[in-house]
Amino acid sequence: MMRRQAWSDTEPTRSRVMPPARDDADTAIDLRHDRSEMQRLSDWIDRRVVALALTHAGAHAVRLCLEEAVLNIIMHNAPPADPAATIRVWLGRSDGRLTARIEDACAPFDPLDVPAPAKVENLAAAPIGGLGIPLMRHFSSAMEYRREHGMNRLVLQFDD
Amino acid sequence: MDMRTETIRPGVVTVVLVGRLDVMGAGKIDLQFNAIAGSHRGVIVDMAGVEFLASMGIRTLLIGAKTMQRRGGSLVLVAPQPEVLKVLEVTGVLDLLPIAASHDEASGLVGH
Repeated sequence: MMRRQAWSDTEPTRSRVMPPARDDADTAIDLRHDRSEMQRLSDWIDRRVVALALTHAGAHAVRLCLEEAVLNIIMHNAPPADPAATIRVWLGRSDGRLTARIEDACAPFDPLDVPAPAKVENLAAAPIGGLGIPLMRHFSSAMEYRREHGMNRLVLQFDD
Repeated sequence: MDMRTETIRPGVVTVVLVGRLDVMGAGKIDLQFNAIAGSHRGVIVDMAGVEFLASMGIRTLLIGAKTMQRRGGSLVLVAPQPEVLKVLEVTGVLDLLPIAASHDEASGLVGH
């Protein structure tokens, strides 16, 4: 079941939302707003799965949700005004929970506001597309969205 | 993502997919897959080697299936791995496309 939670602190700082890398410089990746970056994201997920010793199910959920979230930004949200702006993805453990954070400077977009797709009765009526967010909802244990300082900030948690 | 085809009988082909069927994998096979869907009356998609399925991969399968249905043909998925089966279930694809446990079963489901 998807949960929408509020942050407990009043004014989160960047380090609260996206902790900087310390001893492991590979905890986050910055991606250009370009579909060709998906391969680099995939390779980075491979490394993080090993570094975090994720279970098979956890690795699958993380890969699916991160690829869907980033692809959604690249394909369906206009590029940010600043061409140097990147999509930042962080994956690690926060308060003991497997957590992913995705930040972008595109137009405001809250995936939690997207209604669940209507049930389709047959193949001919099936739409092509619109499946990414339902997959993220199902394969994450919690989703949170905030618009802060001109950034979309999406936090996903996973059972692992 | 690797893809190979095996002709079962005239007009019916098995497409064997191996790897991740995500945005990169789908991009690699889309053209060839659509060409096969548009030129056969039966396509059996062997999913046993697909270790990961994302929305863009589902898009590839649905476009192919729709193409075939419009021409009176059918597309059947065979032996998806558990995680892939879960993705098909969550997205409602299980209600839209036939899933077979074996090639024999799939062969009976596609057009003769």
